[in-house]
Amino acid sequence: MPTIYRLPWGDFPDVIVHATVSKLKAHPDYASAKAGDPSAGIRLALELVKPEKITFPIVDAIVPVVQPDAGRKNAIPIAVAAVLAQRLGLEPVGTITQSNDVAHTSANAPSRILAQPAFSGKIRPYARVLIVDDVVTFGSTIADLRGWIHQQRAVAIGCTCLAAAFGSTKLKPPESIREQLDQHHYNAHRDLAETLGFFGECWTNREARFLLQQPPETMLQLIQAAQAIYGIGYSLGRTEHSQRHSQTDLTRVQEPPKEPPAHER
Amino acid sequence: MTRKEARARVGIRDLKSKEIDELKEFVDEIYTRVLGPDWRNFPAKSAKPGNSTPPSDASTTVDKR
Repeated sequence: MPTIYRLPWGDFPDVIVHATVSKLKAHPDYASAKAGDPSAGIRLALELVKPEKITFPIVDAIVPVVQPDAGRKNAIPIAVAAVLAQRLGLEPVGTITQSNDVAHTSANAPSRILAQPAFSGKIRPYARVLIVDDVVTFGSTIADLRGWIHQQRAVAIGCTCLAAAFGSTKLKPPESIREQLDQHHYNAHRDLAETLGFFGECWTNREARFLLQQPPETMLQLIQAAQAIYGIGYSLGRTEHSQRHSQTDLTRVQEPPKEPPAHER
Repeated sequence: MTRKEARARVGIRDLKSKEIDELKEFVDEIYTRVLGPDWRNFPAKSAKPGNSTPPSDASTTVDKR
């Protein structure tokens, strides 16, 4: 079974957005591009992408979310990545793809939490990467792709999407949300995260806010569903509630790779 | 409920290697249309942002005698 990798958000910046969701979905090429028409995807990208919005000083490679969605190949992220690579002189990465189909476009929130995208494929170590997707909603795909990129010893510097759902550009939950989540569901949200394969510090802002609204019985149902999907043994290792409060167990969270010596770059 | 049934219930399906290859071909098609057939070498190494060192193959072709 594919493994999900995530790491805490650190100072990962907000998602850079080029257009509104309504403008994107009203584009005459949107449906065809989403269904896998390369020409439609390129036309759409050429019209909506604003390269001047990308101002990261040290990005040198670009990785699109390459995914099937309910059996269809989404051309939009790839076309946006190609256009940005061309305009900004970035290395286009074509080796990393999603390794499962989780059909997120029409999925509800619990399904998005439970059905995490997994990735495969290698990237040049120490590449400084800009992630590209078409629309950010819960941010799960970006979080999981970022984790995979770090797992391959490259570094995700930022993310850009053509459009974002309301409140989705901030991927890192504010401290207040994280504290509330710990107060309301300390064991439950960590058990759920660990069953999925990562630590409770790695939830996206939208994921954390969704979980915060759930009653305890729904959290239990989510954990049981996750255990049925991923297996109880998949957990990163459980600790007792009292122990959890007394320690910050991030030792097994992947650290971002260190910059290589100059002669290895 | 088996794990397979639980995964299917929330819409998870692992891709076959053939499907992943098809995705990579799809990427190749779009990159080729925008960046040209030599997109794997895009951009020229000397033009890459932040690349102040010579291309790695340059050092191997220098006559060190």
